[in-house]
Formats: sequence, C-alpha cells, structure tokens
Amino acid sequence: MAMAIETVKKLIVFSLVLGLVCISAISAEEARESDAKKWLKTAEDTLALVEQTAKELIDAGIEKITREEVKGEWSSAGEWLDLAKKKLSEARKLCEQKKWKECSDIANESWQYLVKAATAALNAGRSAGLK
Amino acid sequence: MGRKLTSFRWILAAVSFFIAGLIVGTIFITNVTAQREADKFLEIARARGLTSEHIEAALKTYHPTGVKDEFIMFSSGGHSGQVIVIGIPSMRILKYIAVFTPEPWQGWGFDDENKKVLQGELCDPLRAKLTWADTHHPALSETNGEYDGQFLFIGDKANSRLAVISLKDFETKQIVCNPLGYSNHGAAFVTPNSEYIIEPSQYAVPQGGAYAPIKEYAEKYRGYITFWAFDRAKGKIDISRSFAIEAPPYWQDLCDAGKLASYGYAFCNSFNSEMATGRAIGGKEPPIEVGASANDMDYLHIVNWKKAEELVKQGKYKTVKGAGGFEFKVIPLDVAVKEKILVLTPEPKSPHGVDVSPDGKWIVVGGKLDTHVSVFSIEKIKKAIDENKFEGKDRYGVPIIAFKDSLEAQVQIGLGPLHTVFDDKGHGYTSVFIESVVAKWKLGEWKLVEKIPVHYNIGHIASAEGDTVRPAGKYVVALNKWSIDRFNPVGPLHPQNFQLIDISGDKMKLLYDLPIPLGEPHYAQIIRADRLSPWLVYPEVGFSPVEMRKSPKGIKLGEEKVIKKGNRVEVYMTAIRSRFTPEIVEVDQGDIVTFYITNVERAREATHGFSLGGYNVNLSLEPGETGVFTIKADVPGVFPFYCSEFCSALHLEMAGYLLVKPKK
Repeated sequence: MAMAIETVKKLIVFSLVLGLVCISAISAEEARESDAKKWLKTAEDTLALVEQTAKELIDAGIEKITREEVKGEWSSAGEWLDLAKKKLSEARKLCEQKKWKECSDIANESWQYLVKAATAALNAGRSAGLK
Repeated sequence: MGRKLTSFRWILAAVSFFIAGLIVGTIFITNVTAQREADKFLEIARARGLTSEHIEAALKTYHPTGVKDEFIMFSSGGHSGQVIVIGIPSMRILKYIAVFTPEPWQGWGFDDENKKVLQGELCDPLRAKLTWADTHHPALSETNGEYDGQFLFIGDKANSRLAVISLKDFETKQIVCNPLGYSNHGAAFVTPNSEYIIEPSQYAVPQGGAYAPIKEYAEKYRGYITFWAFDRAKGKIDISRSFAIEAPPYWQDLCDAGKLASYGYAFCNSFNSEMATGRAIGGKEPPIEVGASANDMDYLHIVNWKKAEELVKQGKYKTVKGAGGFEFKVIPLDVAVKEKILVLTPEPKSPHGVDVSPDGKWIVVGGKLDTHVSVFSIEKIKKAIDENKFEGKDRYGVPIIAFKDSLEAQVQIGLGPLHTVFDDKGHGYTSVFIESVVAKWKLGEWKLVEKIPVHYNIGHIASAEGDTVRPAGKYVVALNKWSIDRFNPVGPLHPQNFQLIDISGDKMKLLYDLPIPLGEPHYAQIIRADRLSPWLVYPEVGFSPVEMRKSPKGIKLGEEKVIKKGNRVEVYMTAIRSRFTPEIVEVDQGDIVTFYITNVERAREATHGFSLGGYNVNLSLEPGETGVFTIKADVPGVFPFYCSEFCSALHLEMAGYLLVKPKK
C-alpha cells in the first residue's frame, strides 16, 4: 500500500514536471512564432519603404544620371535590394513551414540588407542632388 | 570794414564749396571703387559658380595669414594611431600627434626613451611590439566638468590600449595596455575632474586572457568597464589605483561620464545582449549582424563609479591575472550586483552613442537601428535604484530597471541616429547615419527642430566644448565616413570628410569640407584655443619630454664629450645652427654607442633633426630637448649623419661622420 502511494506520488510529480516542460516548450514555440512573424512584418514593411524611395528616385530621373559616383551607389542599392528580396522570399517559405527560428533569422538578415540598400539609395539621391 | 567782411564771406563760401566738392568727389570715387571691387568679386563668384551661401561660408571660415583659430579640434587619426589637430573654423590641419605608432618627423619611436613609452605598461609580449592602432575617442582632461587644456587621452580599439598626451608639448607620455582583454571601443571618456578615464571592453573574452571554447561563451566570457585612475600631478595613469568592474558579455560599447546631476555615475551602451557569436564554416548560427540584433532591446549599463571606488578602497575586489601575467583589480559581478554599482535598463536595440547632457540630467542614447533617440532621466534612475524598483534580473543577476521607469522621452530623429552633442542653447545635435544628416532637436521639449544633409554616412559628431557642462555653441563638425563625390578622386581608397557646420543662427549652415586622408578618424573634441597654453620651446636646455623634467644627460654648449668604457661609448653632443659638436665620432666595430644630443637653441621652431644613415635613426630635437638613442656599431664603415630639419642657410653643412673602425 505504502509503495502504491509512493508510486502515485512519483506519478503526480512526474506529470507535473512533464506538464511544466510541455507548457514551457509550447510558450517557447509561441514566442519563436511571434518573433518570426514580427521580423517578417518588419522586413516586409521596410521593403515597401525602400521600394517607395527607389520609385521616387527613379521618377526624379536617377537612372538617367551618368556620373560614376551616382551610378555606383545606385547599382549598389539595387544589389542589396535584390539580395534582400531573395532572403525575404526564403523567410516567407520558412515561416510557411513553421520553421520559426530560421524564418526569424533570415527575415532579420533580409532587413539588414534593406538597411544597406536604403543607405546606398539615399547616398545616390544625395549625390545626384535629388534627395 | 564792410568790404572786408564781404570778402571773408566769399572766401568762406569758396572753401565750403571746395570741401563739399571734395566730400562729394570722395564719396563718388569711393562708390565707384567699391562698385568696381564688388563687380570684381561678383565676377570671380560667377566664374567659379559660387552662390551667396558659398560666399558667406568663405567669409566665416577664411583666415588671412597670421590670424589664428578660435577653437582647436583634436580628432582621432584612425588606423594611423595618431591624433589630428585641426583649427576651427579655418579647418586648417595644424599637427599630427604621434601616439601609438612610430612617426619619423617627430622622432617618435626612434628615441630610446619614447620607444619605451611606445612599448607601453602592462603590455604583454604581443602588444609590446605593435606598429599600428585604431585610435577612437579622444577625451580632453576636465576640471569641474570643463576642459582644462592640460591633457588629452585616447584609446586604441584594436588592442585595448590607452594613451596620455600632455598638451604642454603635444607629446605622448604614457601608454597602458588593459590586461583584461584585447579590444575596447568607448575609450576614452573622462569623469568631470579627470579622476578616472573610462575604458569599456567591447568584444567579450574569457577572464584572465584564458582560452575557452565559443560554446562556453555565456558562462566564461565577460566584459569589463575599466576605470583608469589619473594622477594629474604626475601627468600619468596610476595603475595601482585603477580598477575594473566585471560585466556580462553583452559587448559594451560607448560610455559617458555623468556630470552635475549625474556626477558619480557612468553610462555604457551594449549591443549584443543576445550574446551572438557568429557562424563558423558549416555552422547554422546566424551571422553576428543578424544574431546581435534579434532582440528589441539591449541594455544601458548604469555604473556608480564613486561607490565602486569606495569598494576598491575597502578591498572588495579580486586580483585577476590577465594577458602577460599582469594583475589587475576587478570588482566581480556578484559584488557589483550586491552593492548595486551595476544596474541595467533596456534601450532600443543595437544602440550606439550614449551622451550625457550638459546639466547631467539626461542620458541620450542613439538608436542606430531605431529611428529615435531615447532620453533617460537620472532622477528616475536614481529613484528606481533607491527604491529597489526593478522589473527583474538578467541571467547574471544584474537588476534591470524597467524601460518605462528610466525613460523620459523619445525623439523621432530619422534613419540611424548615432551620437548626440550639445550647444549652449539647449539643443541636441544627433548624427544620423543612414539618412546622412545632422538632426537638431530641443531638450526638454523633445522636438525635432531641423535637419541638414551631410556628405556622406556620418558617424560621430563634435561640437565646440560640447562634452562639457558649458558647451560653446557656434560650430559642430560632422565626421563623415564616406566622401563619395566631394573631392578629386585619388584611387579606390577615398578620403573621409569632416564638414564644419555653423550652428550660431536659427538655421544650420554648412561651411566647409575638410578631406581627411588618415582614416578612419572616429571621434573628435573641440576646445577653445585660449584654454591651451603649450610651450613654444622646452622650459630649459637639456629637457627630457618623456620624463617632463631636465635630463641628467642634457648638457650645455662647451660640455660636449665622448666617454668610452670597454665596448660602451657615450657621446654627449650639442646641436645648434649650424653644427653638431662633436662632428666626428669614432668607435670600434662591436661597440655599443649611446648618443645624448641636446638642442641648445632657445629660439622657437629652431628644431634640429638627427639622421644617421643605415641605422634607422631620425630624432626630432625641439629647442631645449635632449634626445637619446643607442646603436650597436656592428657594421664597420663611415656613416654620415646630418640635421634632417631645414634649420638655417647652412643647414646642409650641419653634418658629421660616425666612423666605425673594423675589428683587427
């Protein structure tokens, strides 16, 4: 009888520990998901801003400017933007596959490239006297 | 009588007409001349395409020959390991101060005494042989929170070194290595009476210069915030009173010392609270730039250095054996936590600058990856600490004040705010990297006032006396990392660009571009020129700049001699326009020869060089200075020496011979 009580006690403790582990795992998973979605949104929003800036510069005639400094910065902006889009597309797929940590990291990486694209685009605009 | 009076009136009238004519004529001629001058200037302006703004900028910066500058800027010389001295507003470069690297013109690194300074104190064998540095933040010494014009300190980010420069002769007096690590960033920053020079580490390493695998990063790697005690009377860092505070491995960045309302505190940023360590080949971890910016918040470190100083006096530290086996006092993290000398508060992620306002009430943090500057209140921080009001602890047990409990305001600045400096009218000026602008905003109202474009990618920013309790206003200088299209191309490595901005009016105005050919200059401080009182010549003949007193080896004219004892030879030489005495020195092959050369001149600028062919010797002997170098004369032959400064009409005749007789 005493042994049975001891076993029940152990089972209860085990169940409690298991429950706590599961709850932690679930909440950690939820945190990862929320983080990934936040990064994805940040990257998507920043992409929209960078593309808007690029469009304004194109409308203002930046692509017609032949000065090497402007062309160099503008082409650098384009390269960063392409890289950012590629990474963002990867991130979207990872999020769809619920690979939250990977999605989070790749969306963050995409965002880093967008920051570089914006810096180069703004420099190009400034050098061209447009921004 | 009546006729006489009439004649007098006629004469008076004639004289009056004559004078009037003269005045009218003079005015006419003056006007015509002025008009012609104006036309000439306009023609020049038109031909050069100058606008009225350009002309105004030129009028505000041009200094006719002989006219001196109102301010002096001390800028980091970047990888050259030097300091650049620049006059403001003319933006004329006045000097490069040799600090961490040999510099032949100043004879820095060629003289036996200054070679010892270059090797440094507390330097392990690796760092004793360095030939470069990444100078970052110059800091002028302060008294009561104002620059006192006595000393300049500067850090070497790459090798965690700190240098002391005397502004009496603009020469480096001391270099110390931090045994606790190999990198810093936020060095140097001084406390308001230069009690301490603050040097936080940047990239965390295992304690004591030991090895630990990267997977043990969180457990074994640590940061340090070092407080180097400064002995003003000796003009040197007092290592015995210096100490460090152990910090979590969050990659501490810049610091600033509190002043007035925040006196006794220091504030240091960090940007890798995620503890990202990067990716090895085949690794799956994100690259550092991604990993270190994953969290929304990093931690502002709030350090009570006054209390830490007391703890050290009470012996509440441990002695850590660091690189090279050198020991250093460290307040362990658990003591720092228990005594509440280290407290954290969240700050928007990956911040960069942390700058304390002139009244000491506000701590301004630049967001870097955020669009705001965040302004923290020392009053709120002190209250939270006093009331033990913390939202939790980090994994190392360091208490965290909630963001809402320490924050006063956030000001929307733009894309990539970095550093903030202040003027005399209650404005902050923040460098904004991504946008390439300087943003002016109002303290207290927390409102953006205006922005001015700069060219390009601004990093730091400096304002006149801007880090003191009483900024001078008038000017800020944007320290731009890129110049892109501002200057004539000089190959793929371009100069960087310092832009002088007039902040005296309502609107900021760009005045001047100064190409900087020694990159990457990091930070600068600007002092009123009248606070400096450098020597024009050394105070007495036979002076040792390293010892800052008369050298026992210094001699006067007529005291020249050569002493030979065995294979040791001592040459006591004088230099004066236009001769060295003695001019012929004869030694035997294998002799160890030490030259003590005293420039006995008292006239300013009567500097003599001493260049010895083949032996890698070039001294710069300023008036009064005694220089010393030692060679082993192991190659027989005849070696001319000469004065390498064009000192007089008979400069070329200022020469002599070292004859090394071959062994029989």
